[in-house]
Amino acid sequence: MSAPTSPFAPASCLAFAPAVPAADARGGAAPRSAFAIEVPDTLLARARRGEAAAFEQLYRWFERPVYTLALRLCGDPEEAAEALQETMLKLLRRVGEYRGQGPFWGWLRQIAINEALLRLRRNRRLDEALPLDGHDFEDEAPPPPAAADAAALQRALARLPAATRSVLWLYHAEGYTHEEIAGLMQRTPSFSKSQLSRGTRRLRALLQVEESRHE
Amino acid sequence: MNDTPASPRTPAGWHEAFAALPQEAPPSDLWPQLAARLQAPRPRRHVPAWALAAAVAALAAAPALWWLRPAPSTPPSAAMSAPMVAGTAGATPAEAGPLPVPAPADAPLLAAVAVPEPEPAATPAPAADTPAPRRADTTGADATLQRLYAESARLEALLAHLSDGFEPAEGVQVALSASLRGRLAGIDAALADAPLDERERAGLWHARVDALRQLTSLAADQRLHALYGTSAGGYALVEVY
Repeated sequence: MSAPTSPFAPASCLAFAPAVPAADARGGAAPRSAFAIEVPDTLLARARRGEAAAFEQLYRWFERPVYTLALRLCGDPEEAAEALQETMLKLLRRVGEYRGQGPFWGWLRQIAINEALLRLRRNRRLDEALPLDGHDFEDEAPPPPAAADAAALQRALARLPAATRSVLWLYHAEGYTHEEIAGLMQRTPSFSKSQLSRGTRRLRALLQVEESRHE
Repeated sequence: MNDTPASPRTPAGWHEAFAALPQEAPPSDLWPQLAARLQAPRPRRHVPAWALAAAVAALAAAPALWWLRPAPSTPPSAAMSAPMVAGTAGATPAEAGPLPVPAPADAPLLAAVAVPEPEPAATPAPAADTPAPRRADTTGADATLQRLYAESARLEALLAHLSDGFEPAEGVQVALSASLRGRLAGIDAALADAPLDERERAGLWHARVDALRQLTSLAADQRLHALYGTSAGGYALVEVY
């Protein structure tokens, strides 16, 4: 069965959501997630039996992708570490519920995203978004050269509101569609589109400031 | 375009720029803490009586506040007409299709992982405490959905708080809770899998909120009975029969 993904699937661990990026307008340019690690069935079987060594192996493999995603969304190392720990605890508690209908990494990524968004909601930071101005045209130009500077890009991302940054990260880095992001963030696809558009322009502006500073 | 020797090639797109960012590592190795939590018996969080009383009072006041609030411009019409999909979280299309998020129940830790039996008394995860601010671009249907999302998130937050570290001891409560969670999983499956029109989607979200209200009410009741050492069997039996 390959039913289309509901754009409004609830964003909770009670809910379903896509594990792999759905097809979207980006076609072949859709990004590959850092989570995309193949996990052998034998390792999962050992984890299901409760073997601590298997859990540690899974932890070691996914520690960085989970932490990085949480850090990008939350923007705070402490919150990211908490999200990592909670994600891994949920993985260990629920690995028996993973039934293998999709890649394991997608299942785990969903938990990680929910954990990170949960923290943003708790602190009401998911309400922090760029205001809409009615001029949300698609910014399809390539990034400025400063985007190749990891430190500059990270600084610029850190200056975006949390919800805007989350939309940008989920879209550009994880390959989610606007409908999927809307479901995850309990907002509308138009919210996701406008935040992507405005956020991309803001990010470009911030990076251009960085460039001019270094010229 | 490239002027400084230190600056690498300009990325072709934002996804390439984001993908080139380094993977971050946590400031310290969290595995020892995690392993310790796995080995330890699952902690029971002692929630002060006043906090429980406040949570229960808030829950009791919720329906009143719900009805006292200013009437929405588009009253929910599709409430409770949503199809109840039997089944549990987990059935999803293979590979490229949507994947299930882990099912609702929190299982116990390491010991129970070997026996992956769904345990109903658990903590649903995410949650929010307040609705997102309404945007001018939302349509009537959007506004209804937004209200349901917010209500759903509020209830999940309260439910997570009430359920965290707490496991109901009575079989009837477990059965009732499991039944409600199964219903919730069915609703989520329907929301995730089927192409839905606005009316169907709103109906499912109404049903989801309704199921969450019942679960939250049950969890609050369980905590109160646990606090005062009384039996909740009567309540549960009323619900069951």
